[in-house]
Amino acid sequence: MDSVLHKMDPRTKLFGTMIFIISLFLANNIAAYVVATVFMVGAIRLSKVPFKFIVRGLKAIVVLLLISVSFNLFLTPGRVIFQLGFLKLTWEGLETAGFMALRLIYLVIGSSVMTLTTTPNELTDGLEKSLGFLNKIGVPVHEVSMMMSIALRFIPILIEETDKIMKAQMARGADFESGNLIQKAKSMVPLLVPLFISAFRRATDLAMAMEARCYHGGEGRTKMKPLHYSKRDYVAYAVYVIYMVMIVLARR
Amino acid sequence: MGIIKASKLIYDYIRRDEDEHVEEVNRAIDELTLDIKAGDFVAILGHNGSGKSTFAKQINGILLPTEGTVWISGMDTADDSHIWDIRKTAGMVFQNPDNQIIGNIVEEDVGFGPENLGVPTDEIWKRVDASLEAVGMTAYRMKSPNKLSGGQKQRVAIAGVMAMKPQCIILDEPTAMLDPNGRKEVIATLHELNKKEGITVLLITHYMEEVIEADRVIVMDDGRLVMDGTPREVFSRVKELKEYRLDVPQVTELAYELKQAGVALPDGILTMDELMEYLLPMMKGN
Repeated sequence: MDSVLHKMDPRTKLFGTMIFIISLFLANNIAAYVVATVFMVGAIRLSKVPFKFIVRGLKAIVVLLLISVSFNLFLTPGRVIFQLGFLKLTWEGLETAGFMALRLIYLVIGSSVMTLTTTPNELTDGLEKSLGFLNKIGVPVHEVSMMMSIALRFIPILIEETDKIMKAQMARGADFESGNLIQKAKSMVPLLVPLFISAFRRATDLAMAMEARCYHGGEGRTKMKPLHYSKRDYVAYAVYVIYMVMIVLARR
Repeated sequence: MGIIKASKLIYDYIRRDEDEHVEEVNRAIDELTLDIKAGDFVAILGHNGSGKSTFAKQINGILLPTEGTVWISGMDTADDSHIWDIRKTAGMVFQNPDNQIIGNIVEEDVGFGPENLGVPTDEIWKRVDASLEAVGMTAYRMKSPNKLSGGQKQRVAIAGVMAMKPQCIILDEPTAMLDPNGRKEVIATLHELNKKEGITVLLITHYMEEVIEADRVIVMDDGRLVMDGTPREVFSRVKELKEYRLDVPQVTELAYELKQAGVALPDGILTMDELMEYLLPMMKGN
């Protein structure tokens, strides 16, 4: 996939996502939400990511969405539309619930647009560079981002390993399928011990391999793919400023 | 002095209890003296626990000698100030391909070494291109390492070491976890690097077939160097090798058995073609 958003510097996208999230919490009327919607739809269009990929992220929050919407709907005091026992549906409740739902949905969509146009490596690189100032107060930014990218690299390997251990235990009569949720969770415990042991062994090996390739922390390290701002990033920052101003103006 | 030189090298694995009292001392390397010439393809053979892997880790300073000295192109590995130069000179490839690849994309992994050395960005790209080309993995440069076969992963690991422009590569049983095809791939790559780029290769293995084409074979047993010579010299001593619990290549074994049975064959036959050369005339004679 190649679009303006894909090519954009990850720092710009991270910052943009942050701006968007802040704006969602500032927005408190329909006008502000219209501005946010225009911004979001524009970003989606620019990313050329099919809409159905973006919506896929929403599946994860359906339950959360339902719970928060129903609480807001029925438990907000105000002008009653109709009453069912202690549950009152109010106009104010309707409004808060609506904005709440919009806010959550936009949050997820906004961050999906970023994650769908940025590779995990770009993301860690971007975080490392934009959080570099934290180094001054003693946060090991380089180390944390190195850990993140190694974790990403090892997720599929550890999943494969879990699968292998599971099959090995199933071959010897372990049962992972039957029983209720708690029993299932309990039957997973014997998986953890071999998995942890192997993860530690891998970690030792990897540390040795990294040292053998002269890794000695972030100092004096150069980058194969250094981050550079280009014209489109400056344009993006200008858009962010305009967007923020519009949101603030649109607020009540 | 050769590129790798060890003199009276001793290494003890020391196990201590909680109060730091020595509980057990395990001598992994015992007075090893060795000199390896630059540009050679050297194979080190040995049974499990013969100290061959421990020796490999001595070469680029992952382990330091208990007694004795190891020099890498004149630099003492025990001297802390040279440690990065030593690791740059003597690159190392390990057994498990999964546990030594750091990058999420092939080309990024190859660039990891040069990045650590502080090589400028343009130069990193040049080196990555050249190294991937040298191991024949250019077509896979944008792939995730998880999608590669074992042999391909090991070639990526070799490229990662090559990108640091080492003079010498040490491989600690690089083919132990690979299938026969992957094994051939990796060994062929090593021979090519040795011939084309003049890299000294130190291959640690227990597969006899892999060492036939080496310039020199060293056999270790119980931490000591017990045999040293060309593959032909070493493999002509079949009985001795068996005492060190090592097998000889199948063809060599067959030739040896035939000779024991009274067929007039020379010692140290290494390939099928060679054996045929001697056997065919005899069969025609009959």
